[in-house]
Amino acid sequence: MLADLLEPAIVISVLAAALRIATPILLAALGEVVAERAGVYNMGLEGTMLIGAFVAYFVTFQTGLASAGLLAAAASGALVSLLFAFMVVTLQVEQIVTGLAINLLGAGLSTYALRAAFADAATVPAIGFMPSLPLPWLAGLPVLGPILFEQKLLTYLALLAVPAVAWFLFRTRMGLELRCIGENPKALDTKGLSVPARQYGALLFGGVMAGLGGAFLSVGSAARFVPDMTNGRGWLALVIVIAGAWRPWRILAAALAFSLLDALQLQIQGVGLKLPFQLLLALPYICAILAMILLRPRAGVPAMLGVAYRREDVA
Amino acid sequence: MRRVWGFLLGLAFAVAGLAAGAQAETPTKLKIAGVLSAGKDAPWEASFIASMNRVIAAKPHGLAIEVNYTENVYENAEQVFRTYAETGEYDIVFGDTAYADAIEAVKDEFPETMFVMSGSGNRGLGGNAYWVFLHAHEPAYAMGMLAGQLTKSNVIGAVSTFPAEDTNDQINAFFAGAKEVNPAIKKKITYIQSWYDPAKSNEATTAQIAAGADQIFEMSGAFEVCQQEKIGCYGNYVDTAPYAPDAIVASTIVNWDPHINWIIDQWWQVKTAGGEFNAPMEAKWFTWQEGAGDLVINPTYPVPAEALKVVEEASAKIQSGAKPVELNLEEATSD
Repeated sequence: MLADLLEPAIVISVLAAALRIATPILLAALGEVVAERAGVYNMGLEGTMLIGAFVAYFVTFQTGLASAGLLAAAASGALVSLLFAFMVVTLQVEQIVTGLAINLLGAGLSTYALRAAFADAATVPAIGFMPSLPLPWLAGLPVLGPILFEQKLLTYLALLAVPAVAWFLFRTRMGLELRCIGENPKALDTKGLSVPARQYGALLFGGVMAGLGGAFLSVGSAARFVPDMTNGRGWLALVIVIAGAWRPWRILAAALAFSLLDALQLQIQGVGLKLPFQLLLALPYICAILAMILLRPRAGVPAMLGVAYRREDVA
Repeated sequence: MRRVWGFLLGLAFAVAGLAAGAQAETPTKLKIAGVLSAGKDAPWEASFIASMNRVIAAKPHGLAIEVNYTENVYENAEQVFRTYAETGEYDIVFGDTAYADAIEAVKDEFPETMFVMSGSGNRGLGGNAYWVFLHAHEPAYAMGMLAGQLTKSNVIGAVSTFPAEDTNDQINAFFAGAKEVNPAIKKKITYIQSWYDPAKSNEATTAQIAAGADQIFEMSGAFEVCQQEKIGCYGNYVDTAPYAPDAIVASTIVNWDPHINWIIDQWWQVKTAGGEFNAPMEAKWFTWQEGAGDLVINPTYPVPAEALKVVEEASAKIQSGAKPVELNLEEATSD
């Protein structure tokens, strides 16, 4: 049985599945790390992803274009994050409470919109299955080809976003400023640079990424929308950011570790290895918790994470 | 004289009152609350609502039936059952899944209200708490015979939500049917541990295809991979062919009609003949012949005529009782 699991075709299938499973979580987590580096804790990822998932599905259904669906999902994520930013940056409402409210809003609004759009709930139409995008030449490579280069657009985007976000946060002036807000916003403020504007920007990016993450679930892997289809992936993205110690490359590693275990447990069940599958299902989550416990002491938590910045009155 | 008139008038009122009272003994209206475990779009719920609509249209006992639904009821079930019962408007509060705990907590406070729970995860409570069970193992057996004949790799899969008695019965029967026509088959079973997560369900399907499966019983409602990979897939609860017309070979559907009618009959009995609700402690279920389920073969799927004939003959025998299908509630495991 174990030998079955090590067959090349199976190994390739597991690794390719791991990348697909990681995609929505990675997209949301990479957006979230930028927001958290800027000192804002956006717990509303789950709700933002749900809205993105619905909008992507609905727009793709209406226009017949998956690309339009993806753009609309990104825009809807931006819109939700704008609301969130207005609440926590401008009005300085408690960030965690606002995040939870966004989640409730996302779950309610997406289900409501689904019902409003399709009166007969039992016959919600499926949209076309978003095809894979094999990269020329690269997809032909043995082993690596089917794993890495026969994925969908959003998977490539998620993987490319890792170096892009890392470069942005650690190699650009804007990234430095954002990180500075997370550590010591006053320093930036005294230089005459706007803290709220940068936090708005960081949250907007986070919203776009969460919206795209949601879109991957509906348009990218299910070809339809069902209520609550994110099934906790927004929460998982928050955990991945912590497990990844607020660093993009480590976030990639954490997301892949989780998704690999998830893909493996699905394959182990499929191969028929005699292991209690409940344990296998819990394994990725146990590992995520362990990673948080073990990495926590060395983690680079932004000092001002979750603390609203109030400019002291100048006398 | 005035006294006589007064007496007559009083008598007339009394007679009229009695007549009105007698009329109230034969109900003309029935108000049902449908408590759904998921959204109306989930196949289980969709089949419940479709059956309820057929029963409403059929007007059993001449009753004008009105139904209101509450969706996504799980952790808050007791509150939902209590709220419906407290209004005093609802004659039957019909839950479509495991609500035994919630019903046990409220049933004695509202002895005039009839409560219903469905499927596995329940226990007999008696009194005004009725228990129905939908077993679609008979059509699932016939469907398995289809899969057993169509497989080329001799590997057949099933992707399900959670192991439970009302999914185990179908999985076991499906594989038993496949084994009858093709003893060489191997079975693969994956649980995704979620009621509705199409993305995960699709990954589980991909994993089974990698493990060699070419016929898969999709019990967690995702068919996109089947469509894409052009393998034969099988659905349940509702006709799933519209979701993936090129991939769905057949679906076992469940009909709640006999269960709902049985519940209404029990209610009618108590309301017209008097007495108290006295629900049996065992779950009430119905056979394929009694209309509890059916096998719907996708007319556009190219099933060889010979294979079709085998399945049709077996289906007729199962329905007539000549070919009994074992009701096996054990958790199925992969070979």
